[in-house]
Amino acid sequence: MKNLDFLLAGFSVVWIGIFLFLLRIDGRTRRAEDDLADLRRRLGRDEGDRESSSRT
Amino acid sequence: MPGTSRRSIVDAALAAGSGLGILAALYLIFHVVPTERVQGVVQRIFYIHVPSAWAAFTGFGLVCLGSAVHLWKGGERWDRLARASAEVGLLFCTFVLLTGPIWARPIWGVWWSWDPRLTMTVILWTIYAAYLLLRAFGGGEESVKRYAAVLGIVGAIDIPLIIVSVKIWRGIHPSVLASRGGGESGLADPWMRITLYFTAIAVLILFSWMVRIRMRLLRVEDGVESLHRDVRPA
Repeated sequence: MKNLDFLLAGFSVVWIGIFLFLLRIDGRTRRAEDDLADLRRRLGRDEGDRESSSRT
Repeated sequence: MPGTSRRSIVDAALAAGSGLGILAALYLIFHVVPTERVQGVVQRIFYIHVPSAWAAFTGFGLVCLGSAVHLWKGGERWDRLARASAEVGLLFCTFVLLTGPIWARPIWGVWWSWDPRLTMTVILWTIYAAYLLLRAFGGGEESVKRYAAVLGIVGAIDIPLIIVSVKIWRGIHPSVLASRGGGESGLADPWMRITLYFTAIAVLILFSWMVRIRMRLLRVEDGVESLHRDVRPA
């Protein structure tokens, strides 16, 4: 079939673009989850510091 | 929480709907719709090119709406809608600008022509790329959000110009749904129209899902950033 390569290229561009967008969202979601875990750890430590200072 | 579970159900429904819709659209495009007599198989690019353009216009229309409401009433939600829609809209506008030349090369014999519609689509892409650059590097201050909102509203003026450009200026871009003389449609076979509209609906569902997940991520990122400000440095 004539120009089949152009047809495949046209559709590939779209699906690769959507895949890369979703991959980027996934990466940023993981980073946000790591940030949240780090904040929870730090907040827990702050709570611990506050409790020990109130006891002394 | 009922709100969270409702959001999850909507997200799951949109994800499933877009996945199934796109699969059905691909079946229609590659199996059902007849091959165009003059252009051959490459004409099938239209079934993804045109819905991508409609998704891009919807995205930039939502940027305009979100920006206008943000300027009028304030509130982070509308600003997030504008930003998420700009990102997804720009992605679909990029598809338009890539699939167009891929179709044009075998049909027109050139990759690109400075036709009015093509030129104005490039201008539209540039405006919203500038909008996103401003959002990415301008900082999170309210003044930056307001400047970006004005740009988002002004940029949307280009959309109706692109739509009517085929009729007003005599470019070489084909008219898809109506012939230039006002006669029969450029899509002669009914399956061509059915496929175009079905693919457009599937792409718009996919677009809605992408905007929603991007908005949710923006909300989480904003929350993490404000928590970072509250927590003392390690």
